[in-house]
Amino acid sequence: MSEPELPDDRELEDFLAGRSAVSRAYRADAEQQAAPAALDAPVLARAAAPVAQARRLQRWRLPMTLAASVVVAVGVLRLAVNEPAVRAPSIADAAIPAHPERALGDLAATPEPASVEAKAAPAAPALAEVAADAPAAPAPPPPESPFAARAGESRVAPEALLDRKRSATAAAAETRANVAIAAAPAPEPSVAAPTTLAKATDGFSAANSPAPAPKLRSVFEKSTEQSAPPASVQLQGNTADAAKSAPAPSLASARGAIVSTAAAVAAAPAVIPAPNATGRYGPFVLGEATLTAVAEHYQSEVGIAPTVGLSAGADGRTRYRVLEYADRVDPRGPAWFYFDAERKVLASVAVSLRPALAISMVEAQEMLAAPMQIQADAPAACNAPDRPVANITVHYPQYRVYSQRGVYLLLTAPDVVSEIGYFAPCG
Amino acid sequence: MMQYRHGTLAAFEQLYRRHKNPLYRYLLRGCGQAETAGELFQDVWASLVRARSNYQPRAKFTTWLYTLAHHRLIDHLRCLPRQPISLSVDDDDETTTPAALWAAEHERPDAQAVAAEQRLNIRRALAALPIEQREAFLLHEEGGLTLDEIAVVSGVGRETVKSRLRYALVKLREALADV
Repeated sequence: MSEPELPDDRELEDFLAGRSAVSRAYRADAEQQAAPAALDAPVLARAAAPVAQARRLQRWRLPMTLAASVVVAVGVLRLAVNEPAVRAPSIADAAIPAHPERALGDLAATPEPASVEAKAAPAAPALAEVAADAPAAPAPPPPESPFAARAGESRVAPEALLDRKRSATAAAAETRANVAIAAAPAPEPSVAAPTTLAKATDGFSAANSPAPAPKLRSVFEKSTEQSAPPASVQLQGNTADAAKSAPAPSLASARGAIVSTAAAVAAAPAVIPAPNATGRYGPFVLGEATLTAVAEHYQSEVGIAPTVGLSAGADGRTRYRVLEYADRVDPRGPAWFYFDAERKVLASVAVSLRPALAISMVEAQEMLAAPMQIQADAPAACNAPDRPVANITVHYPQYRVYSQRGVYLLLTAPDVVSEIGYFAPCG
Repeated sequence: MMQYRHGTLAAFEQLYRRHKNPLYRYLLRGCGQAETAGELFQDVWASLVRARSNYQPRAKFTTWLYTLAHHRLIDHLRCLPRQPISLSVDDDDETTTPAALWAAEHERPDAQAVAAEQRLNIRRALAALPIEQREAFLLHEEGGLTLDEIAVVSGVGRETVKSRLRYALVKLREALADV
């Protein structure tokens, strides 16, 4: 039995082309056989299911898109409405030049006599010139009392005030980083260099300068907080004289120099203790403002009269003439104005915080930094000795006194401040 | 297929009408049982529906369709014990042949008888072929695939497909010659 002959390529091509007898016979048979009609329904139903599901989703697409758009639009609108309140620019922001180095150069070019200390400080000559120039600049008009302005508005939460200062501090820190590149090298430890640098900060004191330069204050305090505490004390302690004559725009322009100065001082060990400084409350300088001036100010500016009385001094002997104002004078709470009975001038101001605040917030708001003293009593008025109490650090209430700022805080519990006081040092 | 992928059911219906009969015959000749062929037929279309989102027109739709069918058929045959495929239950059922076909082809009764015997022999010879040869033959006849496409669907080389077709043709030609 022979093996059947395999078809050659031509025969295979005929088959592939449908010309072979086998193909014709098969197709003739295949045409008679179709798929059962019963199979159509399940197959078509299975194919239609995902299409119908997609159409259901498609039907909801437009409403869902509209709803999502509305939600996003409402969210954006709310953000836009709240944005101005969150990012309200301060006056100091507007006064800060884009190029503090240029402003520093302008100040340096002003023909003013340079101080001896400035000439004696080779480490930072430009800064010394700024120190000499700044106090000589024309004094701005006396600022309006910030508390009097607030009294006519709705009550501002202390947290909001703190937020403003924080934003200003953050912006100042950014500028400081830029200026620090060009900062002068740190001077050798000496008395002369801090003195010169302190002169550079005359008129910039946070404790004594008027309110219109909060930005500058934040920069300065930020720098001093990061530096060695005694050095910062030195900077602040020498700023008592020229504060009132310091022009705010010029100070803001010289911010870069101040930052550089503070950074330079931070590298040098402090050798001079901090002297006491005079506190300042709004437009009033402690130790200078009279009872009549304070009463007339609030009568004319705010339209309220105080409750007048007498109060015993901290030493039990000194008697004060007291003006008590309600919340309209200070949005943080009622304020008491204590007047020295002998000198007839404002001795201290105490603001009772409502509600009490965390000390970290208050220190940030008031730009307070170490050093400070802890006492059992409020800072004594003139002619009354301090009476420190042993182990006062673990007892409350206690007073934390920042003599270099003329400010004290009353802590009724750990980290809880219920009162802020501004006072004038004795002598 | 792309239209169906994007949600046009009418496109699927058109594809189904075009390919349902050849695909069913491919499966019927491949497995030899109408009931099983029906199940495989539905499985293949279900696979197509599931895979619609991933369908990419890299090749002819027919090639893709018969690749799905080939895999499903092979899976089915692998589950069966190794035995020669039997004739389809309806292969000898004369009632499945439309009467109109008999009347349309030839008027002479002897010619009609010869044609019927030829178709029966073809079916028997096809059922007797090894699955590889039978599938190569069916992919060409039912799917209209070329040698290369058959090679792709079967996962073998082109020459292998040619060899399988040659052997299949020899046996089918002999079946026709016996009539």
